Amino acid sequence: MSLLDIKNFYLNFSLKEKEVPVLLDINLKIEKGEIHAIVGESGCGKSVTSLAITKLLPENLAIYKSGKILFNQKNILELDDKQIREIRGKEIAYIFQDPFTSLNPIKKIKDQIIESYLIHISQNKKEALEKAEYLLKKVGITELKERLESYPAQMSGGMLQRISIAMALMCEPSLLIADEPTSALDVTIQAQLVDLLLKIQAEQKMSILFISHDIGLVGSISQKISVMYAGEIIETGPTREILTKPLHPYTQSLITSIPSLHKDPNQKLTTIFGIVPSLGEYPSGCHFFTRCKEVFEKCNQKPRLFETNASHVKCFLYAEECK
Amino acid sequence: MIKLNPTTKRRLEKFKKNKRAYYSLLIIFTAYIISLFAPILANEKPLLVYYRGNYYFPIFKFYPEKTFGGKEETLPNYKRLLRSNEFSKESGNYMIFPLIPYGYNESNLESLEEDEFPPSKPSLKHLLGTDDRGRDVLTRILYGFRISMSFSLILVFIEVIIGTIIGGIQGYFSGVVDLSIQRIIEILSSIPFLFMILIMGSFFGRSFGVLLFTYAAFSWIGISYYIRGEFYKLRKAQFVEAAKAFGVSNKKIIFRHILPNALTPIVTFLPFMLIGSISVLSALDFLGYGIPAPNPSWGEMIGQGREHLSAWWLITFPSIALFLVIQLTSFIGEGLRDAFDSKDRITFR
Repeated sequence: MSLLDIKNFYLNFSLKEKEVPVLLDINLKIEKGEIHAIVGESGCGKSVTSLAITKLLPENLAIYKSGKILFNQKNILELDDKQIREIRGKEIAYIFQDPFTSLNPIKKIKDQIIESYLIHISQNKKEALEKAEYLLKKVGITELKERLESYPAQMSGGMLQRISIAMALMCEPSLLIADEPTSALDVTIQAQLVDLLLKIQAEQKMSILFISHDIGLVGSISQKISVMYAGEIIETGPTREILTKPLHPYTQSLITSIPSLHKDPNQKLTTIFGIVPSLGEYPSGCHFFTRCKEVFEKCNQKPRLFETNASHVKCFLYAEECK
Repeated sequence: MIKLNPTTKRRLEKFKKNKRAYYSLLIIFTAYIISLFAPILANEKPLLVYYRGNYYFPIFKFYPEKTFGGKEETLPNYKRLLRSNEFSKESGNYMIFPLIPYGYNESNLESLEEDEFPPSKPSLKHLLGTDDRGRDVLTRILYGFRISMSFSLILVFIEVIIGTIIGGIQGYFSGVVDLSIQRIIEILSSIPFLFMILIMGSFFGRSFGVLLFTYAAFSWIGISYYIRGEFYKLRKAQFVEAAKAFGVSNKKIIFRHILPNALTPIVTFLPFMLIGSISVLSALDFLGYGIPAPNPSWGEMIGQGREHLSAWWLITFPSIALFLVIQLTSFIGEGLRDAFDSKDRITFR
């Protein structure tokens, strides 16, 4: 039984008088205690997917077309506002990309960190503060009393992101969604924070959905990777499989474009020609159709998810009937 | 000790550094506090009466004429009482009058020289002269300041509350709600305000309350635009989205996360709103549609000055007072605006 199971999920955006498909046929399974990563270029729908999981997208924009988002066997898409609010922050918590903007500039850290605890667990402020101090110590914040009394603008990005992590852990969620939690920070701090997340994940046995555009970073921490391209998950599989034996042509070129110290310094990094199709202009067949090097006749039809040994891939190269 | 938000602290320091604005604020503030104690400073009733071994405090308590040996149950004329034989022939009786021993509505005809008729020139008795009914101009300026400042402060307070509620609803819920309220606002703002004041005045009678209500019903519109814009902006802010992701309810998001952030620009706007209402009240009084007649008001005094062109003091002193208040308040506004500006380029000399 998986913790989160997204089944054939379709999402549209309603833009001026027309509906545009944004997410198509998303299938994603996250087991208990697993770190699952979604990688992809900017604008491929990673963040939209993560927000859709607790219906955080603006109501006038998002149309939840079809499919299911099962969290602990409950379909989130069928819950009403109040029931969803009980899941948000308590069962599923978020860490956002930019800690500078995701904290309220005019509220003390103290008041912000205990907010979700007061809503979901108990009204006892003292208890909440004790918990907050415990977690802040755990994420490596020193001079606790002083930090709790200060405002976001008085702290550095790394420290704020540590606080955001502590904030997300206040209600001991079973799923933590980290939406590019390190991309706004320095590389040295990135490594520290990733280590911290891994340590906490191991202690609390929670699942993490880690969203990133950095396949190198993700490769070192996650058990499974889903590669997204233009609103679709084109390949899902165990991390090692994806990194060593990528199947989809897009994943292949993505991996060869990672700069590495072990590569021949005279060889140019590969780039993928063309640009990502923009919203509403997705090709009718395979979404990678226009940029793929191995394109053939069948590619102007929609591929479904084909199963191989360990991975699932959305490419006709691996279809039984084409072999 | 409350630990101030560092941004607020920096703004306060920047405001204090701007000497012109800081001292303007001090002056206006002290002047208003003083004017709140106007009944002790300027009154036709004495502060203290000593009569036949007893002490009386006529400003704070009503005593009928009978108390002091008269016949009537009505309010005694203390100045006449002081001059009367009965009061002065007994030794030991005395009265202490306030610094300015005139009421704002008292015709000081008795204290004038025999051959003089009001309005009378500034003299030692009446520092700023008297108006056409013999009322002391200084006293009326003092009481007039109290009325117009109180009126404006209450008005601004109501304006901000109504404007924030309506602008907030528009900005937060947006869409159809926003559009329909916006149309109502457009209808409301196209009603000529002066006619509305006249109509309301003739319906309910002219009074402080009716004037306040009518003016407040129109003037919140400007504030609602600001708040609406701020809510539109903050609704999409990351920390609001983050709060949503933590399961915070709409109500809490509005009051704890959006509203405190949205009020910042309003603060810079407050002094200018104050100026607006002070001048509108004076203008209405000048035209005779403001606060009804016997009440002291600067606009009404300037209006008198127009009728008695030879009495220069009637138009000069209220005009100077009005000018000073508006000028000082706009200095405060300027200082606040610069203190809230994140750029540090402006220098004050």
